[in-house]
Amino acid sequence: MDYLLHIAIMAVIFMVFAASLNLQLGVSGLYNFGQVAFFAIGAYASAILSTGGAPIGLSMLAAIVVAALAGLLISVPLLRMRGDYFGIASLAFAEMIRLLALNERWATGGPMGIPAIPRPEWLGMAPTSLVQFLVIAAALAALALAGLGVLQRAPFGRTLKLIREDENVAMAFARDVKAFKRRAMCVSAAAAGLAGALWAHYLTYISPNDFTVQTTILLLLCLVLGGKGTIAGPILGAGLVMVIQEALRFLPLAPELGRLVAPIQGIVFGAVLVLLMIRRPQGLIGEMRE
Amino acid sequence: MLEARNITKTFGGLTAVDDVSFALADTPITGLIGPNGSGKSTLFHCLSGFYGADRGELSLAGTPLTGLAPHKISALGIARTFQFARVLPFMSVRDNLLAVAPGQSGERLRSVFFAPRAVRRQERALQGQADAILEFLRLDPLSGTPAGHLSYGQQKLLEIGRLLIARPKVVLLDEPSAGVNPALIKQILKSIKELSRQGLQFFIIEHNMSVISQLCSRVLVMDAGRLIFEGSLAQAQKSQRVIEAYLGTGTHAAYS
Repeated sequence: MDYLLHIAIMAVIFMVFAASLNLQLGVSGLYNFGQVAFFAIGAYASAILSTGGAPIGLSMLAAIVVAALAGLLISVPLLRMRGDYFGIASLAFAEMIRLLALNERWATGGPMGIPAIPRPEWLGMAPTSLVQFLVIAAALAALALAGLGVLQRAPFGRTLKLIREDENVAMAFARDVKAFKRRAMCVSAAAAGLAGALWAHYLTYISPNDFTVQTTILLLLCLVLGGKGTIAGPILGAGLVMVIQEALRFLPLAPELGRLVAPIQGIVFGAVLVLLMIRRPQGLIGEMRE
Repeated sequence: MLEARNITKTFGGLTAVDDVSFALADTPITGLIGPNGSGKSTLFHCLSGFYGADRGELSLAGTPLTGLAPHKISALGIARTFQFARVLPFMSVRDNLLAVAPGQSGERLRSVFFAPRAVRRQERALQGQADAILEFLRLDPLSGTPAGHLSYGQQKLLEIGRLLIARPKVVLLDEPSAGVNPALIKQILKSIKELSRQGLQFFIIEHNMSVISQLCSRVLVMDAGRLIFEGSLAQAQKSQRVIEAYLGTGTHAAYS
Protein backbone atom coordinates (compact mmCIF):
# COMPACT_ATOMS: atom_id res chain seq x y z
CA MET A 1 0.00 0.00 0.00
CA ASP A 2 2.74 2.36 0.98
CA TYR A 3 4.40 1.55 -2.27
CA LEU A 4 1.36 2.60 -4.29
CA LEU A 5 1.19 5.81 -2.28
CA HIS A 6 4.84 6.39 -3.08
CA ILE A 7 4.16 6.03 -6.81
CA ALA A 8 1.18 8.36 -6.55
CA ILE A 9 3.21 11.03 -4.79
CA MET A 10 6.05 10.84 -7.30
CA ALA A 11 3.52 11.00 -10.13
CA VAL A 12 1.84 14.09 -8.67
CA ILE A 13 5.19 15.85 -8.29
CA PHE A 14 6.21 15.01 -11.85
CA MET A 15 2.85 16.18 -13.17
CA VAL A 16 3.56 19.68 -11.89
CA PHE A 17 7.14 19.47 -13.11
CA ALA A 18 6.10 18.31 -16.59
CA ALA A 19 3.31 20.89 -16.83
CA SER A 20 5.81 23.60 -15.89
CA LEU A 21 8.11 22.64 -18.76
CA ASN A 22 5.11 22.37 -21.07
CA LEU A 23 4.44 26.09 -20.74
CA GLN A 24 7.85 26.73 -22.29
CA LEU A 25 8.50 23.78 -24.53
CA GLY A 26 4.96 22.94 -25.57
CA VAL A 27 3.16 26.26 -25.59
CA SER A 28 5.88 28.85 -26.23
CA GLY A 29 8.25 26.75 -28.34
CA LEU A 30 11.13 27.45 -25.95
CA TYR A 31 13.23 24.29 -25.97
CA ASN A 32 14.45 24.54 -22.43
CA PHE A 33 16.60 21.52 -21.62
CA GLY A 34 17.55 22.91 -18.23
CA GLN A 35 14.21 22.94 -16.47
CA VAL A 36 15.70 20.67 -13.81
CA ALA A 37 17.66 23.72 -12.61
CA PHE A 38 14.48 25.39 -11.35
CA PHE A 39 13.41 22.10 -9.78
CA ALA A 40 16.78 21.96 -8.00
CA ILE A 41 16.59 25.60 -6.93
CA GLY A 42 13.14 25.02 -5.44
CA ALA A 43 14.29 21.83 -3.70
CA TYR A 44 17.42 23.41 -2.22
CA ALA A 45 15.72 26.64 -1.22
CA SER A 46 12.97 24.85 0.67
CA ALA A 47 15.40 22.30 2.17
CA ILE A 48 17.88 24.92 3.38
CA LEU A 49 15.19 27.13 4.90
CA SER A 50 13.21 24.36 6.59
CA THR A 51 16.28 22.58 8.00
CA GLY A 52 17.34 25.99 9.23
CA GLY A 53 14.15 26.20 11.27
CA ALA A 54 11.71 28.08 9.03
CA PRO A 55 8.15 26.75 8.86
CA ILE A 56 7.66 24.35 5.95
CA GLY A 57 4.86 26.35 4.36
CA LEU A 58 6.98 29.47 4.34
CA SER A 59 9.98 27.54 3.01
CA MET A 60 7.95 26.21 0.10
CA LEU A 61 6.55 29.62 -0.67
CA ALA A 62 10.09 31.02 -0.63
CA ALA A 63 11.19 28.18 -2.91
CA ILE A 64 8.57 29.21 -5.46
CA VAL A 65 9.60 32.85 -5.29
CA VAL A 66 13.32 32.07 -5.52
CA ALA A 67 12.74 29.77 -8.50
CA ALA A 68 10.64 32.43 -10.24
CA LEU A 69 13.38 35.02 -9.65
CA ALA A 70 15.95 32.58 -11.02
CA GLY A 71 13.74 32.17 -14.08
CA LEU A 72 13.57 35.91 -14.51
CA LEU A 73 17.34 36.32 -14.13
CA ILE A 74 18.35 33.52 -16.45
CA SER A 75 15.81 34.59 -19.06
CA VAL A 76 17.87 37.72 -19.69
CA PRO A 77 20.89 35.96 -21.23
CA LEU A 78 18.94 32.93 -22.52
CA LEU A 79 16.38 34.94 -24.46
CA ARG A 80 19.15 36.63 -26.39
CA MET A 81 19.44 33.29 -28.13
CA ARG A 82 16.98 31.39 -30.27
CA GLY A 83 16.21 27.80 -31.19
CA ASP A 84 19.08 25.35 -30.74
CA TYR A 85 21.29 27.94 -29.11
CA PHE A 86 18.66 28.58 -26.46
CA GLY A 87 18.43 24.83 -25.82
CA ILE A 88 22.17 24.34 -25.42
CA ALA A 89 22.52 27.37 -23.17
CA SER A 90 19.67 26.16 -20.96
CA LEU A 91 21.36 22.76 -20.66
CA ALA A 92 24.55 24.51 -19.57
CA PHE A 93 22.61 26.58 -17.07
CA ALA A 94 21.23 23.43 -15.43
CA GLU A 95 24.72 21.96 -15.16
CA MET A 96 25.96 25.20 -13.60
CA ILE A 97 23.26 25.00 -10.94
CA ARG A 98 24.13 21.37 -10.22
CA LEU A 99 27.85 22.17 -9.94
CA LEU A 100 27.03 25.09 -7.71
CA ALA A 101 25.14 22.73 -5.39
CA LEU A 102 28.05 20.29 -5.54
CA ASN A 103 30.65 22.87 -4.57
CA GLU A 104 29.00 25.34 -2.21
CA ARG A 105 29.22 23.05 0.80
CA TRP A 106 28.41 25.76 3.31
CA ALA A 107 24.88 26.03 1.93
CA THR A 108 24.12 22.77 0.17
CA GLY A 109 26.26 20.22 1.94
CA GLY A 110 28.12 19.58 -1.31
CA PRO A 111 28.06 15.96 -2.50
CA MET A 112 26.72 14.87 0.91
CA GLY A 113 23.49 16.70 0.17
CA ILE A 114 20.97 17.85 2.75
CA PRO A 115 19.55 15.14 5.03
CA ALA A 116 16.67 15.26 7.48
CA ILE A 117 14.46 17.66 5.56
CA PRO A 118 11.21 17.85 7.57
CA ARG A 119 7.87 16.68 6.21
CA PRO A 120 4.74 18.77 6.73
CA GLU A 121 2.28 17.64 9.42
CA TRP A 122 -0.48 20.03 8.43
CA LEU A 123 -3.27 17.48 8.72
CA GLY A 124 -2.27 16.50 12.24
CA MET A 125 -0.93 13.08 11.25
CA ALA A 126 2.57 11.78 11.90
CA PRO A 127 5.19 13.12 9.49
CA THR A 128 5.73 9.58 8.24
CA SER A 129 2.13 9.30 7.01
CA LEU A 130 2.21 8.97 3.24
CA VAL A 131 -1.53 9.58 2.99
CA GLN A 132 -1.04 12.95 4.59
CA PHE A 133 1.77 13.86 2.22
CA LEU A 134 -0.18 12.68 -0.80
CA VAL A 135 -3.19 14.82 0.15
CA ILE A 136 -1.02 17.90 0.66
CA ALA A 137 0.98 17.31 -2.52
CA ALA A 138 -2.14 16.61 -4.57
CA ALA A 139 -3.86 19.75 -3.30
CA LEU A 140 -0.87 21.97 -4.09
CA ALA A 141 -0.38 20.24 -7.44
CA ALA A 142 -4.04 20.68 -8.36
CA LEU A 143 -3.73 24.38 -7.62
CA ALA A 144 -0.59 24.72 -9.73
CA LEU A 145 -1.97 22.64 -12.60
CA ALA A 146 -5.22 24.61 -12.59
CA GLY A 147 -3.26 27.86 -12.67
CA LEU A 148 -1.13 26.69 -15.59
CA GLY A 149 -4.22 25.40 -17.39
CA VAL A 150 -6.05 28.70 -17.00
CA LEU A 151 -3.04 30.58 -18.37
CA GLN A 152 -2.81 28.23 -21.32
CA ARG A 153 -6.46 28.68 -22.24
CA ALA A 154 -6.42 32.43 -21.70
CA PRO A 155 -5.40 34.88 -24.44
CA PHE A 156 -1.98 34.80 -22.75
CA GLY A 157 -1.52 31.17 -23.83
CA ARG A 158 -2.85 31.93 -27.30
CA THR A 159 -0.28 34.68 -27.72
CA LEU A 160 2.48 32.30 -26.60
CA LYS A 161 1.32 29.89 -29.30
CA LEU A 162 1.28 32.72 -31.82
CA ILE A 163 4.91 33.40 -30.89
CA ARG A 164 5.74 29.71 -31.09
CA GLU A 165 4.29 29.45 -34.59
CA ASP A 166 5.66 32.68 -36.05
CA GLU A 167 7.61 35.29 -34.12
CA ASN A 168 7.60 37.72 -37.02
CA VAL A 169 3.83 37.73 -37.26
CA ALA A 170 3.64 38.22 -33.49
CA MET A 171 5.93 41.25 -33.79
CA ALA A 172 4.03 42.61 -36.77
CA PHE A 173 0.94 42.57 -34.56
CA ALA A 174 2.45 44.53 -31.70
CA ARG A 175 3.48 41.64 -29.44
CA ASP A 176 6.63 42.14 -27.41
CA VAL A 177 7.97 38.65 -28.05
CA LYS A 178 10.74 38.75 -25.45
CA ALA A 179 8.47 40.05 -22.73
CA PHE A 180 5.99 37.22 -23.30
CA LYS A 181 8.73 34.60 -23.31
CA ARG A 182 10.18 36.07 -20.13
CA ARG A 183 6.80 35.84 -18.40
CA ALA A 184 6.37 32.26 -19.57
CA MET A 185 9.80 31.32 -18.21
CA CYS A 186 9.09 33.03 -14.91
CA VAL A 187 5.76 31.27 -14.34
CA SER A 188 7.20 27.97 -15.52
CA ALA A 189 10.18 28.29 -13.17
CA ALA A 190 7.86 29.05 -10.25
CA ALA A 191 5.86 25.86 -10.89
CA ALA A 192 9.06 23.81 -11.25
CA GLY A 193 10.22 25.33 -7.96
CA LEU A 194 7.06 24.10 -6.25
CA ALA A 195 7.61 20.61 -7.69
CA GLY A 196 11.21 20.67 -6.44
CA ALA A 197 10.17 21.76 -2.96
CA LEU A 198 7.57 18.96 -2.76
CA TRP A 199 10.20 16.50 -3.91
CA ALA A 200 12.66 17.63 -1.22
CA HIS A 201 10.12 17.44 1.58
CA TYR A 202 8.91 14.07 0.40
CA LEU A 203 12.27 12.33 0.04
CA THR A 204 13.66 14.22 3.08
CA TYR A 205 17.10 13.98 1.48
CA ILE A 206 18.46 15.70 -1.60
CA SER A 207 21.88 15.74 -3.23
CA PRO A 208 23.25 17.13 -6.50
CA ASN A 209 22.91 13.65 -8.00
CA ASP A 210 19.14 14.09 -8.14
CA PHE A 211 19.40 16.96 -10.59
CA THR A 212 21.39 15.63 -13.51
CA VAL A 213 20.55 15.55 -17.19
CA GLN A 214 18.97 12.17 -16.45
CA THR A 215 16.07 13.89 -14.71
CA THR A 216 15.70 16.31 -17.63
CA ILE A 217 15.40 13.39 -20.04
CA LEU A 218 12.79 11.68 -17.88
CA LEU A 219 10.87 14.94 -17.81
CA LEU A 220 11.05 15.35 -21.57
CA LEU A 221 9.72 11.82 -21.93
CA CYS A 222 6.71 12.69 -19.75
CA LEU A 223 5.96 15.66 -21.96
CA VAL A 224 6.51 14.05 -25.32
CA LEU A 225 4.60 10.90 -24.37
CA GLY A 226 1.58 12.77 -23.04
CA GLY A 227 1.44 15.40 -25.75
CA LYS A 228 3.15 18.76 -25.52
CA GLY A 229 1.20 21.96 -25.94
CA THR A 230 -1.93 20.45 -24.41
CA ILE A 231 -3.17 20.84 -20.85
CA ALA A 232 -3.85 17.17 -20.09
CA GLY A 233 -0.81 15.83 -21.97
CA PRO A 234 1.90 16.43 -19.36
CA ILE A 235 -0.40 15.15 -16.60
CA LEU A 236 -1.10 11.91 -18.43
CA GLY A 237 2.53 11.58 -19.53
CA ALA A 238 3.98 12.07 -16.05
CA GLY A 239 1.53 9.56 -14.58
CA LEU A 240 2.37 6.93 -17.19
CA VAL A 241 6.13 7.41 -16.98
CA MET A 242 6.11 7.09 -13.20
CA VAL A 243 3.97 3.94 -13.33
CA ILE A 244 6.14 2.36 -16.04
CA GLN A 245 9.29 3.26 -14.15
CA GLU A 246 8.07 1.59 -10.98
CA ALA A 247 6.48 -1.39 -12.75
CA LEU A 248 9.85 -2.25 -14.27
CA ARG A 249 11.19 -2.86 -10.78
CA PHE A 250 9.02 -5.98 -10.60
CA LEU A 251 10.56 -7.71 -13.59
CA PRO A 252 11.17 -11.33 -12.65
CA LEU A 253 14.93 -10.98 -12.49
CA ALA A 254 17.28 -13.11 -10.46
CA PRO A 255 18.44 -11.17 -7.38
CA GLU A 256 22.00 -10.96 -8.68
CA LEU A 257 20.67 -9.18 -11.77
CA GLY A 258 18.93 -6.51 -9.69
CA ARG A 259 21.51 -3.97 -10.78
CA LEU A 260 20.11 -4.22 -14.31
CA VAL A 261 16.82 -2.54 -13.39
CA ALA A 262 18.07 0.99 -14.00
CA PRO A 263 19.58 0.21 -17.43
CA ILE A 264 16.41 -1.65 -18.41
CA GLN A 265 14.36 1.41 -17.50
CA GLY A 266 16.61 3.43 -19.77
CA ILE A 267 16.20 0.95 -22.63
CA VAL A 268 12.42 0.83 -22.27
CA PHE A 269 12.09 4.61 -22.16
CA GLY A 270 14.37 4.92 -25.16
CA ALA A 271 12.28 2.42 -27.08
CA VAL A 272 9.09 4.26 -26.09
CA LEU A 273 10.55 7.51 -27.41
CA VAL A 274 11.57 5.95 -30.73
CA LEU A 275 8.19 4.29 -31.15
CA LEU A 276 6.45 7.54 -30.30
CA MET A 277 8.42 9.52 -32.86
CA ILE A 278 7.52 7.00 -35.55
CA ARG A 279 3.89 6.29 -34.70
CA ARG A 280 2.57 9.33 -32.88
CA PRO A 281 4.98 12.29 -32.78
CA GLN A 282 2.33 14.61 -31.34
CA GLY A 283 2.05 12.45 -28.19
CA LEU A 284 -0.93 10.51 -26.86
CA ILE A 285 -3.04 13.65 -26.62
CA GLY A 286 -2.41 15.68 -29.75
CA GLU A 287 -2.86 19.40 -30.08
CA MET A 288 -4.95 20.35 -33.10
CA ARG A 289 -2.59 19.51 -35.91
CA GLU A 290 -2.74 19.36 -39.66
CA MET B 1 0.46 60.35 -42.62
CA LEU B 2 3.37 57.92 -42.95
CA GLU B 3 6.48 59.84 -43.83
CA ALA B 4 9.97 58.56 -44.63
CA ARG B 5 13.00 60.76 -45.08
CA ASN B 6 16.34 59.65 -46.56
CA ILE B 7 15.88 55.98 -45.63
CA THR B 8 19.06 54.05 -46.46
CA LYS B 9 19.80 50.38 -45.84
CA THR B 10 22.98 48.63 -46.86
CA PHE B 11 24.03 44.99 -46.63
CA GLY B 12 27.80 44.90 -46.83
CA GLY B 13 28.64 46.59 -50.12
CA LEU B 14 25.09 46.48 -51.44
CA THR B 15 22.83 49.47 -50.96
CA ALA B 16 19.40 47.87 -51.01
CA VAL B 17 17.51 51.06 -50.19
CA ASP B 18 19.26 54.24 -51.22
CA ASP B 19 18.18 57.57 -49.76
CA VAL B 20 14.43 57.05 -50.21
CA SER B 21 12.08 59.83 -49.15
CA PHE B 22 8.32 59.91 -49.58
CA ALA B 23 5.09 60.68 -47.76
CA LEU B 24 1.88 58.72 -48.14
CA ALA B 25 -0.02 61.98 -47.43
CA ASP B 26 -3.74 61.26 -47.74
CA THR B 27 -3.70 58.96 -50.75
CA PRO B 28 -5.93 56.06 -49.69
CA ILE B 29 -4.02 53.37 -51.60
CA THR B 30 -0.48 53.89 -52.81
CA GLY B 31 1.31 51.33 -54.95
CA LEU B 32 5.01 50.49 -54.80
CA ILE B 33 6.32 48.93 -57.97
CA GLY B 34 9.67 48.20 -59.51
CA PRO B 35 11.65 45.33 -60.98
CA ASN B 36 12.69 42.37 -58.81
CA GLY B 37 15.52 43.26 -56.47
CA SER B 38 14.83 46.98 -56.59
CA GLY B 39 14.49 47.18 -52.80
CA LYS B 40 10.72 47.24 -52.30
CA SER B 41 10.54 44.52 -49.67
CA THR B 42 13.62 45.87 -47.92
CA LEU B 43 11.92 49.26 -47.75
CA PHE B 44 8.87 47.56 -46.16
CA HIS B 45 11.12 45.88 -43.63
CA CYS B 46 12.59 49.28 -42.78
CA LEU B 47 9.16 50.90 -42.47
CA SER B 48 7.92 48.16 -40.12
CA GLY B 49 11.08 48.06 -38.02
CA PHE B 50 12.12 44.53 -39.00
CA TYR B 51 15.30 46.06 -40.41
CA GLY B 52 16.86 49.01 -38.66
CA ALA B 53 17.61 51.57 -41.36
CA ASP B 54 21.23 52.74 -41.46
CA ARG B 55 20.15 56.29 -42.05
CA GLY B 56 16.97 58.30 -42.34
CA GLU B 57 13.86 59.11 -40.36
CA LEU B 58 10.41 57.67 -40.15
CA SER B 59 7.25 59.14 -38.69
CA LEU B 60 3.54 58.41 -38.53
CA ALA B 61 1.30 61.49 -38.23
CA GLY B 62 4.19 63.38 -36.65
CA THR B 63 5.13 60.62 -34.18
CA PRO B 64 8.75 59.61 -34.78
CA LEU B 65 9.21 55.89 -35.45
CA THR B 66 12.91 55.87 -36.22
CA GLY B 67 14.76 53.02 -34.52
CA LEU B 68 11.70 51.55 -32.79
CA ALA B 69 11.29 47.77 -32.45
CA PRO B 70 8.73 46.15 -34.79
CA HIS B 71 6.17 45.53 -32.05
CA LYS B 72 6.29 49.18 -31.02
CA ILE B 73 5.85 50.42 -34.57
CA SER B 74 2.95 48.03 -34.95
CA ALA B 75 1.41 49.25 -31.70
CA LEU B 76 1.47 52.78 -33.11
CA GLY B 77 -0.71 51.70 -36.02
CA ILE B 78 1.36 50.21 -38.83
CA ALA B 79 0.46 46.63 -39.71
CA ARG B 80 2.07 44.55 -42.41
CA THR B 81 1.80 41.31 -44.30
CA PHE B 82 4.72 39.30 -45.60
CA GLN B 83 5.60 38.38 -49.15
CA PHE B 84 4.37 34.83 -48.60
CA ALA B 85 1.20 34.16 -46.62
CA ARG B 86 2.07 33.54 -43.00
CA VAL B 87 -0.96 32.21 -41.20
CA LEU B 88 -0.61 30.00 -38.16
CA PRO B 89 -1.25 26.58 -39.71
CA PHE B 90 -2.05 24.71 -36.49
CA MET B 91 -4.55 27.23 -35.17
CA SER B 92 -8.14 27.39 -36.32
CA VAL B 93 -9.05 30.10 -38.80
CA ARG B 94 -10.95 31.95 -36.10
CA ASP B 95 -8.10 31.69 -33.60
CA ASN B 96 -5.80 33.12 -36.24
CA LEU B 97 -7.83 36.30 -36.01
CA LEU B 98 -8.29 36.27 -32.23
CA ALA B 99 -4.56 35.74 -31.64
CA VAL B 100 -3.64 39.07 -33.22
CA ALA B 101 -6.50 41.19 -31.82
CA PRO B 102 -5.02 44.23 -30.11
CA GLY B 103 -5.25 45.26 -26.48
CA GLN B 104 -6.41 41.99 -24.93
CA SER B 105 -6.51 42.20 -21.15
CA GLY B 106 -6.28 38.40 -21.05
CA GLU B 107 -2.69 38.63 -22.20
CA ARG B 108 -1.74 40.09 -18.83
CA LEU B 109 -1.12 37.54 -16.09
CA ARG B 110 -2.78 39.69 -13.46
CA SER B 111 -6.02 40.08 -15.40
CA VAL B 112 -6.21 36.36 -16.15
CA PHE B 113 -6.30 35.55 -12.45
CA PHE B 114 -7.84 38.61 -10.86
CA ALA B 115 -10.24 39.94 -13.52
CA PRO B 116 -11.43 36.78 -15.27
CA ARG B 117 -14.90 38.23 -15.91
CA ALA B 118 -13.55 41.21 -17.81
CA VAL B 119 -11.28 38.89 -19.78
CA ARG B 120 -14.20 36.64 -20.71
CA ARG B 121 -16.38 39.58 -21.69
CA GLN B 122 -13.68 40.94 -23.97
CA GLU B 123 -13.07 37.51 -25.43
CA ARG B 124 -16.77 37.16 -26.32
CA ALA B 125 -16.77 40.57 -27.99
CA LEU B 126 -13.67 39.63 -29.99
CA GLN B 127 -15.23 36.34 -31.04
CA GLY B 128 -18.21 38.28 -32.36
CA GLN B 129 -15.89 40.57 -34.27
CA ALA B 130 -13.91 37.64 -35.66
CA ASP B 131 -17.07 35.89 -36.84
CA ALA B 132 -18.29 39.07 -38.57
CA ILE B 133 -14.93 39.46 -40.32
CA LEU B 134 -14.93 35.84 -41.46
CA GLU B 135 -18.42 36.32 -42.84
CA PHE B 136 -17.35 39.45 -44.70
CA LEU B 137 -14.42 37.53 -46.22
CA ARG B 138 -16.69 34.53 -46.88
CA LEU B 139 -14.40 32.36 -44.79
CA ASP B 140 -17.09 31.69 -42.18
CA PRO B 141 -17.70 28.05 -43.22
CA LEU B 142 -14.02 27.40 -42.48
CA SER B 143 -14.01 29.09 -39.07
CA GLY B 144 -13.00 25.98 -37.12
CA THR B 145 -10.60 24.51 -39.71
CA PRO B 146 -6.86 24.63 -39.05
CA ALA B 147 -5.56 27.51 -41.16
CA GLY B 148 -2.99 25.19 -42.71
CA HIS B 149 -5.82 23.45 -44.56
CA LEU B 150 -6.80 26.61 -46.46
CA SER B 151 -5.74 27.18 -50.04
CA TYR B 152 -2.96 29.69 -50.53
CA GLY B 153 -5.40 32.34 -51.71
CA GLN B 154 -7.66 31.77 -48.73
CA GLN B 155 -4.63 32.14 -46.46
CA LYS B 156 -3.91 35.51 -48.08
CA LEU B 157 -7.52 36.45 -47.47
CA LEU B 158 -7.18 35.39 -43.84
CA GLU B 159 -4.16 37.67 -43.58
CA ILE B 160 -6.41 40.53 -44.61
CA GLY B 161 -8.85 39.40 -41.94
CA ARG B 162 -6.05 39.75 -39.39
CA LEU B 163 -5.56 43.33 -40.50
CA LEU B 164 -9.27 43.91 -40.02
CA ILE B 165 -9.27 42.79 -36.42
CA ALA B 166 -6.01 44.58 -35.63
CA ARG B 167 -7.45 47.93 -36.87
CA PRO B 168 -4.19 49.65 -37.80
CA LYS B 169 -3.96 53.09 -39.40
CA VAL B 170 -1.60 52.13 -42.19
CA VAL B 171 -1.24 48.73 -43.79
CA LEU B 172 1.82 47.57 -45.70
CA LEU B 173 0.79 44.79 -48.07
CA ASP B 174 3.57 42.79 -49.70
CA GLU B 175 2.25 41.28 -52.95
CA PRO B 176 -1.34 40.52 -51.94
CA SER B 177 -2.20 38.87 -55.26
CA ALA B 178 0.94 36.79 -55.85
CA GLY B 179 0.13 33.11 -56.28
CA VAL B 180 -3.61 33.62 -55.88
CA ASN B 181 -6.23 32.46 -58.37
CA PRO B 182 -8.27 35.13 -60.21
CA ALA B 183 -11.53 34.51 -58.32
CA LEU B 184 -9.82 35.02 -54.97
CA ILE B 185 -7.87 38.02 -56.30
CA LYS B 186 -11.25 39.62 -56.94
CA GLN B 187 -12.31 38.85 -53.37
CA ILE B 188 -9.04 40.27 -52.01
CA LEU B 189 -9.40 43.45 -54.08
CA LYS B 190 -12.96 43.90 -52.89
CA SER B 191 -11.83 43.56 -49.29
CA ILE B 192 -9.01 46.06 -49.73
CA LYS B 193 -11.36 48.59 -51.31
CA GLU B 194 -13.90 48.14 -48.53
CA LEU B 195 -11.23 48.60 -45.86
CA SER B 196 -9.95 51.64 -47.67
CA ARG B 197 -13.44 53.15 -47.58
CA GLN B 198 -13.44 52.55 -43.83
CA GLY B 199 -10.38 54.79 -43.54
CA LEU B 200 -7.49 52.34 -43.57
CA GLN B 201 -4.56 53.58 -45.60
CA PHE B 202 -2.73 51.08 -47.80
CA PHE B 203 0.79 50.90 -49.19
CA ILE B 204 1.00 47.97 -51.57
CA ILE B 205 3.88 46.19 -53.25
CA GLU B 206 2.49 44.48 -56.33
CA HIS B 207 3.73 43.12 -59.63
CA ASN B 208 0.28 42.63 -61.08
CA MET B 209 -0.34 45.90 -62.94
CA SER B 210 -4.04 45.23 -63.33
CA VAL B 211 -4.31 45.06 -59.54
CA ILE B 212 -2.32 48.28 -59.23
CA SER B 213 -4.46 50.05 -61.82
CA GLN B 214 -7.67 48.98 -60.09
CA LEU B 215 -6.55 50.08 -56.63
CA CYS B 216 -3.94 52.77 -56.65
CA SER B 217 -4.42 56.40 -57.47
CA ARG B 218 -0.72 56.95 -57.00
CA VAL B 219 2.36 54.79 -57.48
CA LEU B 220 5.97 55.01 -56.37
CA VAL B 221 8.54 53.29 -58.56
CA MET B 222 11.83 51.96 -57.25
CA ASP B 223 14.85 50.82 -59.18
CA ALA B 224 18.19 49.66 -57.77
CA GLY B 225 17.30 50.95 -54.32
CA ARG B 226 16.30 54.43 -55.42
CA LEU B 227 12.91 56.02 -55.76
CA ILE B 228 12.74 57.01 -59.43
CA PHE B 229 9.14 58.06 -59.93
CA GLU B 230 6.05 59.33 -58.11
CA GLY B 231 2.68 59.87 -59.78
CA SER B 232 -0.21 58.08 -61.41
CA LEU B 233 0.25 54.67 -63.01
CA ALA B 234 -0.61 56.12 -66.43
CA GLN B 235 2.17 58.70 -66.07
CA ALA B 236 4.55 56.01 -64.83
CA GLN B 237 3.91 53.91 -67.89
CA LYS B 238 4.94 56.84 -70.07
CA SER B 239 7.99 57.77 -68.03
CA GLN B 240 11.23 57.11 -69.88
CA ARG B 241 13.02 56.46 -66.59
CA VAL B 242 10.49 53.80 -65.51
CA ILE B 243 10.51 52.06 -68.88
CA GLU B 244 14.30 51.91 -68.70
CA ALA B 245 14.13 50.42 -65.21
CA TYR B 246 11.92 47.58 -66.38
CA LEU B 247 13.28 47.00 -69.86
CA GLY B 248 16.84 48.29 -69.65
CA THR B 249 18.44 50.70 -72.07
CA GLY B 250 20.02 50.13 -75.46
CA THR B 251 23.31 51.63 -74.41
CA HIS B 252 24.77 52.50 -71.07
CA ALA B 253 25.21 56.02 -72.28
CA ALA B 254 21.45 56.48 -72.07
CA TYR B 255 21.73 56.53 -68.29
CA SER B 256 23.66 59.78 -68.17
